[in-house]
Amino acid sequence: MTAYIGRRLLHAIPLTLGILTLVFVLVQLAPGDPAALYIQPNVAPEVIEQMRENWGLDQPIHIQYFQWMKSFVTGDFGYSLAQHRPVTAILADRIPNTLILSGTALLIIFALGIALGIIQAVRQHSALDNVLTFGSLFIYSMPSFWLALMLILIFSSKLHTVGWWPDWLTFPPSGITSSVGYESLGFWGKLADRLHHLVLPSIALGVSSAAAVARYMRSSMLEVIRQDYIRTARAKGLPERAVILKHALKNALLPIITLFGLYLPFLLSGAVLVETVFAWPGMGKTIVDAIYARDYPVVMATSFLFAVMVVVGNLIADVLYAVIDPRIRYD
Amino acid sequence: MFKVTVATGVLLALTACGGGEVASDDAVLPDSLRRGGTVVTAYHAEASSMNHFSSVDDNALELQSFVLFTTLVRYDAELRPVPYLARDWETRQTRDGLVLTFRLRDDVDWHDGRPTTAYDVEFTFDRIKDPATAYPQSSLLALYDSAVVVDSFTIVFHLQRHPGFIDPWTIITPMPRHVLGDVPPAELAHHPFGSVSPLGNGPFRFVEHRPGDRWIFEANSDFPEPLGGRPNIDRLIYRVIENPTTRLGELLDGEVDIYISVEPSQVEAIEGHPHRRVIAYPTRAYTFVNWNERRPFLQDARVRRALTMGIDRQQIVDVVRDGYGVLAKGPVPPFHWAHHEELEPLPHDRDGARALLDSAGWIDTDGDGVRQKDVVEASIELRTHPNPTREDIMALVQSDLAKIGVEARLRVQEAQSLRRDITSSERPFDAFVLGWQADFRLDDRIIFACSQIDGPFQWASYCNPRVDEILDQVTRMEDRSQALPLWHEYQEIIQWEQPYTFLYYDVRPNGVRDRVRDVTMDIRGTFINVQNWWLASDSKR
Repeated sequence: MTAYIGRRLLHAIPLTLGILTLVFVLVQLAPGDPAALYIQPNVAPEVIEQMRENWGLDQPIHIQYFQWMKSFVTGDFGYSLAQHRPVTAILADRIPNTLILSGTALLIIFALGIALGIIQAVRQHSALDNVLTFGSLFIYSMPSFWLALMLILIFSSKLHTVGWWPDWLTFPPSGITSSVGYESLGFWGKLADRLHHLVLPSIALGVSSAAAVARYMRSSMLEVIRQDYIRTARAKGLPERAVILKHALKNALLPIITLFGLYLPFLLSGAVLVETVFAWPGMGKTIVDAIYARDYPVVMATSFLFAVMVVVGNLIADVLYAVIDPRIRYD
Repeated sequence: MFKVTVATGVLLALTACGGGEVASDDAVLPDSLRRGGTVVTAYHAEASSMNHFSSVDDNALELQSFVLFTTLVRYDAELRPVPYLARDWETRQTRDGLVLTFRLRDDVDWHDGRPTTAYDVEFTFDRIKDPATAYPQSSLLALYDSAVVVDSFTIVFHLQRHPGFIDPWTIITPMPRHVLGDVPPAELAHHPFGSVSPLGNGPFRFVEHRPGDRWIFEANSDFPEPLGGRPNIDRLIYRVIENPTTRLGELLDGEVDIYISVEPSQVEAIEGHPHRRVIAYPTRAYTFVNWNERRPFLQDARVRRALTMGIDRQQIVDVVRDGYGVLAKGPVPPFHWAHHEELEPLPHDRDGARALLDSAGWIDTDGDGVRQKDVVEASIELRTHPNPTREDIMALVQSDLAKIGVEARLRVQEAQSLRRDITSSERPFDAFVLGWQADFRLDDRIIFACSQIDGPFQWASYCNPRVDEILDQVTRMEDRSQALPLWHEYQEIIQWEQPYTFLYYDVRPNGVRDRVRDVTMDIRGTFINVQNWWLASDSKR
């Protein structure tokens, strides 16, 4: 197994370098450059030229490429040309925020999705199954940014005006913590404040994918419980709970693991639309802003992170297959 | 001579009803009871940096001028320069120019306790003049030659004579020499000073910056009394919230006290709330349609006049701005002293427009609804960048033009890609909708002078020798009463020749919670009297 993982990681190196080279060429091909943000009527063209020189943008593209590669392999991501600070500082700032939000969303997606899927499969064709099917399709077809806006409208704007609605069930529409007074809270107060701010964004980000996972889980589970070994398990008198959760679940999870591998990169890439709506300073917004500003060093650094996450996510999924299903072997 | 018109009647009405303060016995409240609390403001864009050497966006410049730093000179409400960090100034004429002497206040300290001196001003001047710094607005001091420090609080500038020579000092905020003096000019822009550790000398100190999220400032209790002293509020937070619905939610929710630049469609919701109010003020921005005169169809001034007359501009103001805009008539907005009061905007007159197009030889001969002349169709591609307001404007323009037999094809183009196209000297476009910001010290040569025809901003490819003559003269005339007739003539010519269709001068509504008192905003900005803001005592937090 270790040898397999090592081999996969070795393969990933040329792949990642190839991706980075491609991204480098593509962002350079896009019209404009970081200095273009300063092209304004009261800014003289000579000033723009000087900026390009100060930032090394006047060099031919292959020189810029090798310079970037050189500092990249020594672990230096360079300076953001739009934010005027080291790229590593930006990443150190944004990655925790993103991990909190997308980690919570991922938890919602899989915990909720798997649980609902199991319930629906076990009670196939019952009223509950129908209601859940309808509900999950309804939610799945909502765009996340729209859902986000609706959540804000309902839970932070409208419910304030409803007298009997408990205050703790209204939620702040933006930010990671309260703007005022957060510093003076104790540890538990801070935690509660953060969780309170996390509720709406993680729901907006998570529920529609949770609905999708529930659909997958339901069909995969239905397939498994028709198998002979499940009938055998029931026949030997095992309680239904053990049959479902011990024998059936493991096999039914296999397709879900594939999904999990696909969702992992999203832990770091964040979600642009939801981050924008909730003013959540995460990676998604960083990347999109960097692309619009042609902030080359930031675009390159984030592309590198995603490439790594995609590779690692797929690797984790493959390893998990082997863990769950002993029939799968890589050696 | 210093006649300054802040706004037309419509604007005055707007500001008057919006800016009205809460009636109470606030006026007799002792200062000590006004102290304390945090004001949270929210805007859709980040203030890029507190490093004056690398800032070009209005948000950053405004926070620098009014919050973290001090300028030598400020505008008063009539836009007359008045002393601020400079105690006073005097000028002396010499044979070949002007000698300008600033005497600085000696009681303004950097927030680390060192005094702000003439050496800081000299350092800032030197860096601005050094091309290696790439200071964006270096043209501000283009006619300044040199600076000499006389003593710690006196600095002398030698410059060429020009009108508005004092205006740059309302924008430039001196930077601390003892912090940045040793940084090579080419590396100033990347210095952590701008984003991580700015050190100011203004009414507020820097506390924290979370990039893309918020700037936090706190009151500077040592700020000198004659300049307004310690601000009333303890803290000022500038938050970045990109989505307008979220900003509205935060304002109504009470998390945000001042929502800067409200979407016009949200004004009703804010005014409907018993404890929120709207303060509207005219900005320096205007919105226009640019016509590229290198295109055969757009060469004739009659055609461009017809296009303007065909577009229902009042409808645009009413629909996309909910009335928050003033019908524009030219490149000199109402705030500017040279604004032509008597000039009327071209009327919205479809029949007149059709007649003009007919007389220019553009007639629909093949009956397809689109006029033509020889083999050229009266058809243009109208572009803008992704922006809901401007996209709406394009749709309205398209339908108006169709009614006078002109076809407009719409294209929304990514901002940088559009910028590349319009600034290219080939001008590979027909027409576009954009906004422009008029400076307090207006110089329109960059947009309309023949000499700039291949320059990055002469988008109309407009050339009229008389306009060149006027624009050259007014930038040299120091006597405003002498320049005024020329400014008026310029506005009349531009109206007759319509290189742009001027749509509207922006009026910006802002949402304010009632608990924040004594908030004044005008053409100079949002934070102009941030020192005087105070919080009603029952609602401090």
